[in-house]
Order: sequence, then C-alpha cells, then structure tokens
Amino acid sequence: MPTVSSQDVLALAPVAILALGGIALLLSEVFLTSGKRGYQAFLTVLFAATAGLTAFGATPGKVFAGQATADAFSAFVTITVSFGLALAALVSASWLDARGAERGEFYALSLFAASGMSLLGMASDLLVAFVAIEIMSLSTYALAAWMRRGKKPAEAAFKYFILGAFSSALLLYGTSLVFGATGSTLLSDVARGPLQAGGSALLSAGLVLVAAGLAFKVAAVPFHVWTPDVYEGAPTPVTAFMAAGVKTAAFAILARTVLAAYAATGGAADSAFPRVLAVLALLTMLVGNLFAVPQRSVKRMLAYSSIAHAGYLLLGVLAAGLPAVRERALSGVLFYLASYTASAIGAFAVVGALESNGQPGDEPADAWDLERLAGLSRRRPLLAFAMTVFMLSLAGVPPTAGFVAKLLVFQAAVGAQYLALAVVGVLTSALGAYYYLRVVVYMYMRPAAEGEPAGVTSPVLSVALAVAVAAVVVLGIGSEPVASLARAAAAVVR
Amino acid sequence: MAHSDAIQVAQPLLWALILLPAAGALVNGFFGRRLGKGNVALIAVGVMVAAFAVAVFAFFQLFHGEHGTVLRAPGDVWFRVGNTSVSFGLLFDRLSGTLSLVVTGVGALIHVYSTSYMSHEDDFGYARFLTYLNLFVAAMMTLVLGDNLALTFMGWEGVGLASYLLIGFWYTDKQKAFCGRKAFITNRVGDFGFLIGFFAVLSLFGTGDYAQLTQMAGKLQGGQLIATGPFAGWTVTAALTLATLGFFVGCTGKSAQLPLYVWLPDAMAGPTPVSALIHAATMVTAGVYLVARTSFLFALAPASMAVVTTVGAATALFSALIAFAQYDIKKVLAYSTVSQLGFMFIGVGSGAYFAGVLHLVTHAFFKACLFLGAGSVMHGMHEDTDIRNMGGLRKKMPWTHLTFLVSTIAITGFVVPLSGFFSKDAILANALFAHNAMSDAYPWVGPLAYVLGSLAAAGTAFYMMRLYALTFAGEPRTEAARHAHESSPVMWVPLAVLAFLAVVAAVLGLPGNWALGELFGRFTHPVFAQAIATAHVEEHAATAWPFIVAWLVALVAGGLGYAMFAGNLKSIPARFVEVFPALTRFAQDKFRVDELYQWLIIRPLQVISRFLWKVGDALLIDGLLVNGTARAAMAFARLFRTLQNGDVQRYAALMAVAVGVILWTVLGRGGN
Repeated sequence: MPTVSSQDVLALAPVAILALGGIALLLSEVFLTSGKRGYQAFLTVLFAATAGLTAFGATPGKVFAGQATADAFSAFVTITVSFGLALAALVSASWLDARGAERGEFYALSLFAASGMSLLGMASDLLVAFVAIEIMSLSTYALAAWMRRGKKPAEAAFKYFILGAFSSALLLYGTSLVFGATGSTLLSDVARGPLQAGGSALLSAGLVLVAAGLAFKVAAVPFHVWTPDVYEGAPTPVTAFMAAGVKTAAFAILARTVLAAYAATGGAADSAFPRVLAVLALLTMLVGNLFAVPQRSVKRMLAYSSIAHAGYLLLGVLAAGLPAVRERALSGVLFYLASYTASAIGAFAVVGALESNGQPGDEPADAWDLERLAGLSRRRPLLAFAMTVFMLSLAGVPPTAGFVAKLLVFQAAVGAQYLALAVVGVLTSALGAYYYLRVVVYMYMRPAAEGEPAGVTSPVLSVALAVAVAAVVVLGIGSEPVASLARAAAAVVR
Repeated sequence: MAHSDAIQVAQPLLWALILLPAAGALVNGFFGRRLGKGNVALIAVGVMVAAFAVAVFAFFQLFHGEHGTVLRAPGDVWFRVGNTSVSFGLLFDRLSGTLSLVVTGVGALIHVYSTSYMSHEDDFGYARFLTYLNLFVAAMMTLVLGDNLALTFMGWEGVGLASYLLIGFWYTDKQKAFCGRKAFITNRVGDFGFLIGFFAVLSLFGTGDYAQLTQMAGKLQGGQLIATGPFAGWTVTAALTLATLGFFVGCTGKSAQLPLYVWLPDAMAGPTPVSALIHAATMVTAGVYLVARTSFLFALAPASMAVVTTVGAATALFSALIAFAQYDIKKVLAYSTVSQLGFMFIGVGSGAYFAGVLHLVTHAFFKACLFLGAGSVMHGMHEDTDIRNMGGLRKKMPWTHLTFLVSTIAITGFVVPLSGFFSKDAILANALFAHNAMSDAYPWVGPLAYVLGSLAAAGTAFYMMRLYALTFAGEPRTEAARHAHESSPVMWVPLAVLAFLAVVAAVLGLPGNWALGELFGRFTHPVFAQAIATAHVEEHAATAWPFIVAWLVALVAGGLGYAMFAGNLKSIPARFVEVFPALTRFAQDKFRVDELYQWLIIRPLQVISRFLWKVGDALLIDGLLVNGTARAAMAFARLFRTLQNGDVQRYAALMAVAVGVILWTVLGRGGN
C-alpha cells in the first residue's frame, strides 16, 4: 500500500484548482441573484491562470507511486491547456451572451474538461489516463450538446458520444491486454516489455488498441470520421476548445504511450509499430488537407484543417521514436500544440463572431459559408486582419507561430530520416495554403454581399482576439522563450 | 552620480534610441489622421529630440572610464537554428555612438524642417510622411546599434523599406512610384550580396556577433587553412575575401556605388527632406558603416580592400563627371552624393578608417544642408528644379544663400578651415602614403585612388561652384526667380545649424601635427585598433604637399567653375557644347548607363519572363499544376465524400475495419 505524501497532493494542484473552479462556477449559478453573468468568464480565466501558474511553479516528481508524473512536460501541457481554456472562455462569453445561453454550467463543464486534460498531461499509467480521458470526454460531450434545441448540436454530441464510447472501449480493452502481457498498467513497466517470452503478440495487440483509442481523440485518419460532423455541429466556441485542448492533452498521453511502446517492442524503426504510425501520419496529412480543399463552410474547413495538423503532429511523435532526435521532436510537438492552440481558437472565434445570430434551431445552412467573409476587410478591418494572421499561422507562413512550429517538426522528421514523410508534409502544407489563403482572398478581394450582418462585437471578444494575435506573432518572431520551455519539457520525457 | 551608475542607466536606455522613433511611427501611423497636423508634428519631432538627448547622454558616457569604454544593452536569444543562436543586443561604441549622434541629430533637424516643408499636404499625407520618417530613423538606429550582423541586416532591410515608401511618397505619380520600385529592386540585388557575406561569416565563425567575431578573427592568420565546414580547404584569406566582397556588393547597392548607383539619382523623386535625410546624410552611408564595422574582417582580405578602394575611387570620378552636365538642382546634388560616398569608400577601403567615417560625418552636415537648401530654393521657385531658370537668388533668399555657400565651400574645400577639406584630404593623403596589407599586395591601388580621387575633387569643386553660380549668382533669369521668396524660419534655422556644424566639424579632422590634430582619429582608434593591427597599417609622416596640392586643385577648379557660369568666362560652356555636341549629350544622358542596363539586363529579363509567364506559369503551373491539382483534389474528395455521409454506423464500421487491418499488420509482422 503506497503512502500518500504532501508531494502527491501538491503535484496535483493544477488539476485540483481547475476542478475546484468548476465547482465554484456551478455554485455561482445557485447563488445567482441577478441575470448578469459577465463575471463567470472572468472567473474561469482566473482559475485557468491560477492553474497555469501553479503548474509553472510545481516541483517535479512522481505522484502516487508513479501513476502520474509532475514534470516540465506536464507543466507545459497544463499551461497550454489553461491558455486555451482562458481564450475559449472569453470567446464563449460573447457568443453565448448573444444567444441568451450563458450559464455557469457551461464554464463549469469547460473547467472540468480542462482538469481532465491537465491530468492527462501527467498520466503515466494507462488506467489513470483512461480516467482522465473520460473526465475530459464526458465534459466535452455535454458541451457539444450545449445548444441542445438545435438539430445539429444534438446530433453532433450524440455522434461524438457513441463513437467516443467505442474508442474508450478499444482503449480499455487494449489496456487489459497490456496488463495481461506485462502485469502492470504503469507505462514505465510496459516499456520493459512482456513478462514472458511469448507475450509480445499480446502486448502488441494491446498497444495497438490503446493507440487506436488515442488516435480517435487526436482525430487521426482513419479514426477521424467523427471530426467534421462534430466540429461543425458543436457550438463554435466549444469546437475551438475541443480542437485545441483535447488535441493537446491527447497528444501528450499519445507521446508518452508511443515512447513506452517503442521501448517495449524493441524500438527499431522498421518494426511494425512505427510503420503503422507512419502510415497513420501519412494518411492524416493527406486526407485532412485534401478534404479541406473543397469545403465552402469555413467551420468544416477548419475541422479538416484540424485533422491535417494532427497529421503533422503525428509526424513529430513518430520522429520522437529515435532517441537521437527525441528531444527535438517532442519539443517541436509541444511548440506546435501551443501554436495551434492560439491559431485555431482565434480562427474559430472569428467564425463564431460572424455566424448567424438568430435563435437556436434556425441556423441557416450557410451559417459558415465563405461568402459571409466576403468584404470583411471593409466592414471589420481589424477582425479581417486577425483572421489573416490566424490563417497565415495555420498555413505555416512566416513570421507567424505556425511557421516555426512546422519548421521544428519537419526538421525533427528529417533528422529521424523520415524524409519521404517530411516531403509529403511540406507538399500538403503548400496545398493547405490554398484553402487558408482563399479565406484571405474572400475577406480582402471579394465585394461584400448585400445586407451581410456585421457580426458580434464585444470588448471581451476583442481582448481574446488581440491576445491570440499577439501570441501567434510573438511565438513567430520571438519563439525562443517558449521554444526553450518546450525543450526543457521534452528533455524530461524518457 | 558616479559614472558607473550613469553607464548603468545609459545601457538599457539605448533601446529608447530605437523604440522612441518606432513609437512615434506607431502613434502617427495609426492615429495621425485624427490627431491633426500640429500634434503629429509635435510627436514626430518630440521623439527625435528625445532620442537625440538619449544619444548625447550615452555618448558622454563613452568618455568616462578607460579608453575604449563601450555601452551594451544585452538582449536574449532571438532565435536558434541548429547550433547557431542569434541574439538581439545593442552595441554603443565610439563608431556607432558617432553615427547615433548624426542620425538622431541631423534627423531631428530634418524632422523640424519637414514640418514646414510638407505643410501643403493634407492631414493624411502629412501624418503618413512623418510616420515613414520616424520609421526610417527606427530602422536606421537598429542598423547602427545592432551588436550582430542579423540585427544590422534587419535595420538594413528596414531602411530600404522606408526609403522605398518615401521615394514613392507621391505614389499617384506613376514616374515617382517607378523610381521607388527602381530603388527597391536595385537594393535587392545588393542585399543578396549582403546575405552571401552574412552566411559565409556564419558558416566560418558560427556567430554574427561583432564582439565574438572580433575576438575570433584576431586569432586567425591569413594563410591558415580552414579544416571543417563548407570552406574546408580554403585559406582564411580566400574565405574572408568571398564574405567581405559579398558585404561590399550589399554596400554598392545601399551606398550607391558602381555599378548599382543608378537608383540614387532617381530617388530624388521623393520629397526633398527625404533626399537630405535618407539619400544624403544617413541611409546611403550604411555601406560605409558596414565596412567600418567589419573592418577587422576586411583587414584579413587585402583583395577586398583593394576592390573597395578602387570601386570607391572610380565611382567618385565617374559620378562627378556626370554632375557636370545636369541641370536639375537635386540631380546635381545626388551625383555629388554618389561621388562623396566614393571618397568614403576609398577611406575605409584603404585602411584610413577614421578618415572615411569622418568624411561620413562632415558629409552628413554639409550635404543635408545643401539638400535642405535646394528644398528651400524649390519652395521659393514654386517647385521648379531647373537651375537654368534660377539665378540671382542671393538677394531673394539671404539665409538659404548663406548656408548654401558655406556648405558649398565645405564640400569643395577651397577655404581651408572648413570641414570637407580635411576629411577628404585625409582620405586622399592616406590612400597615397598608406603602408598596409593592401598596399603590400596591390601597390598600384593607393596611387590610382589618389589620382582618381584628386580628379574627382577637382570635379567636385567645379560642378559645385557651377551649381552655386547658376542658382544664386548673377541676375534672375525668369519671372519665377525674380519673385522668389525666402522660406519660413522653421526651414532656414535647421539650415543655419547644419551650416554651422559643417564649419566646426573641421576641428575633428585637423592633421596630426596641428594642435588638436587627429582628434577624431584618436577618438575612434579603439574601434579600429584590431583592423589596424591585422592589416599592419603603418603611421606615415604627415607631409604638407598633398594638402597644398589638394587646396590648389580645389581653388583652380572652383574658380573656373564660378568664372565659367557667373564670371568672365561665360562664353566657354556654350562653345564647349558647340565643339563637342556628342560628348555633352552623352554626359547629360548620364553616360547612358540606364540605357545600358535596359539593354543588357532588363530587356533580356523581360523576354525570359514573358516566356516563363506564358509557357511556364500560364500553361504548366496554372493550367497543369495549380488547377490540375485542385481538380484532382476535388475529384479525390468527391470520391471519399461518400464515406463522410454522417452515418454513425458507417463511421463505427470504418473504425472497426481500420483496427482490424492494423492488428493484422502488426501481429502478422511483429508477432513472429
């Protein structure tokens, strides 16, 4: 029976703060005396900031006999998730307010989801990871259904729930097989390989199933099929939070699991496990980018773009298999996640600000059509500028964060001798420029359609967009502080 | 305040030298239109005066403490690529300190002048102009203060951008917009050379930091073989010759030397304060600054020194000759600038580093004064720039006349105590007598530069006196000239200050055996000490005769110029045109260099581009690759859209099949 020390509790402080924040926001709804809910978003930001700062200052160490690990890696994940949560909360405030749907429960669910994400960044045990994934997922299922009276949100949430349950089953089944082969669910034990000589097939099967479950969460092809429908159907701020937060947390645990799996299966680059991962990365990059091209709905385009980015991130995780470039590859992945968080939430925020403001349920079919962006540079020059920055970053054009992120990941892939995949990555990025820049073309070079509404304006949204733009530009020009944090975080993962 | 405390204060303050003008540009750029002209002017001039005050404060700290004190504002790592990390930090030593004073001081005066000169613009144009001007100063200070090549290059590109924006300031005029483009594109050719030099230095030393480079270069011997890297097997001299020649190609672009000088005369399309600040006093001297800053590298590459010196001398004479036949007051001054920049390159190329930089400083004073004077004349003449239409402005514009005369004397140097005389003749005497690595390897370079330079000096005296005589002396030749009027004090007071500086700056360059002799030479010695040691620059005995020769040359040529255009020899120019009509036209057409480039480079490029556009771009890339890819992607997407039909069962089935396939693959291979 392991003893519980204060270290165990302290290390979990960021998770606890986020969970406490969720409870606080639930209670705020109980004691609400007026209809004013403007403070709830700020409360959320406050809890997110506190959690991020706590994670930054946390002492590294193993928690509860190694079931979780508090280290620079988990701190980076928590900080990124908290940053995403804060941005998404600010974006949600105006979006929900405009639709009369702002409730404390929304923020509470976001905070619970974030606590799951933060825990996922720490998890170094498959069962703890499973619990964290469930905390995260259940909250996001509910968030996706937030505008429940509309047809699309309900359908999206239900799809997400059913398929998510399917992937959880895969994950759990895989975990049980891994336990059967190694007698433990601790990743450090899994890395040692099977207990008995004949157990390697069992272990491989278990690891494949675990990886498939995680691939669902990161939206890797062919486990991505839910993504476009769910991302499009969910309320836009929720999509923003899911795209950024869920991806960050899921990639954190995927990286830790893959490294353990490499160690357990011999780690040679030509063994089956890396090959499968390479095929997944290839498919994800190709399908994500190719499917984004014909989309006229900006929101659906961003959903496919999210899949494409998962492909680049998978390439980074794959490269991390080679010990010589592990640190570079993982730091690239972490930097990529931070950069994608700012860019994607910003882009979804702009989409949310422009979509039809009507009653839930009568969202027109073209709510997110490219046409709505036409002539935006005349109507809302600053909004158009912000969207341009996000599009350039997602496309990977310097001097934005997305460029540095892609550079780091592709460099690592080249260093790990995945030349063909790196070339595919660069080529598909070039393809990506087509659909990202199309948005810019619509904003700056197409005349505005008659009677296009100006969309939502609110100071809170402006602040969120300004922060996101600043983050994208600062990460692009002065990438070194964050890049060095990411390097420090990557260095601790074995 | 103890001096160490003052230095502690001054070091972080260095950032203000860049941030103040940048802030001025930001505020005026975003809100200028709404602020009104008064506030815009106040902000733009205010930040410049504040920056100048900071520069003065920092400059005084250099005199405290030991010889060669430098101020540093260390910066963090900017970015890291592989093993090379580039930091951003500022370096304020006796070289960059001098330049900072010139840029902020002359810059402040020109800002003041502009507030009146540009007052005819509407609110938007006025704010736009002062925004660009502030932006330029911020970029120029980055160039000057950067403690590594990367930051210098950033400033280098920044001033290029500001220059482009300002030359094409009146962009609705097609010709002026074209001039802006010409300047930008010509400079891009040079920038390519800068980058080659930069990358060569990076691969040789692994850093672009000047302090580290100085240290590492100090340990090198020219004949050493390089063991590793892309230059393995080269000698240090060979590798550094490549690097420094790359830098110098950049300099021929930015500082308008042969063969890339063609953009500078056309840059006069910009408003006159721009010509004064950017295309005479500061930006165009960036190349001289770069050679001086990297002098320790040039010292290891005597061939590069010889190239710099020769190109400088050739440019000095070539453009002086063009200036003979120009009738546009600003064009004459532009060719004069190209010529004077040539003198500076003779200086920094032949090992007389201090003299080259000193000429940069004095030239900033008198040439800015001349340009602003020309602007004042243009104001008085209702924007007419043809000197044939002027004459007799002496009485109409007394202040403009007086300052213009003082500056003309300073640049020609026929009244001894004015500044241009000593800086120019220090350069020429040094070129003739210098004993250093370059003169050991290429003994003919120094004398050649001396001869060409002296001829150019004679030419300078001639065309400047011609300019002065046609503009100010004699009787008015047109109605406009008869009704010309003096400009407002806001415009002539900066002129007077600059003219005053042009006179007193002479103190800095007195010859070695005078009282206060070589003040500037001794002041800048710490900066160039290593280059002087590496290139074995030897002191030469100060002799009087080159100075006397130079003085006589200036006197005769200048007197001739005045006599031929305002005095008794007036018939000669007309006779010359009669006797040598072809030569005259050739000179008036600026030796047809633009036409040469048109035929040699631009036309062939156009033909190739047309071909590439029609066949390569329109047919292959647009038709086949871009649209073809898009069509293929569309077809591919349509094919797979059947899978994405929103049916949950189908999604789950797809995932299950995928898991099955993967399991089969892994177990089929890895299990055995």
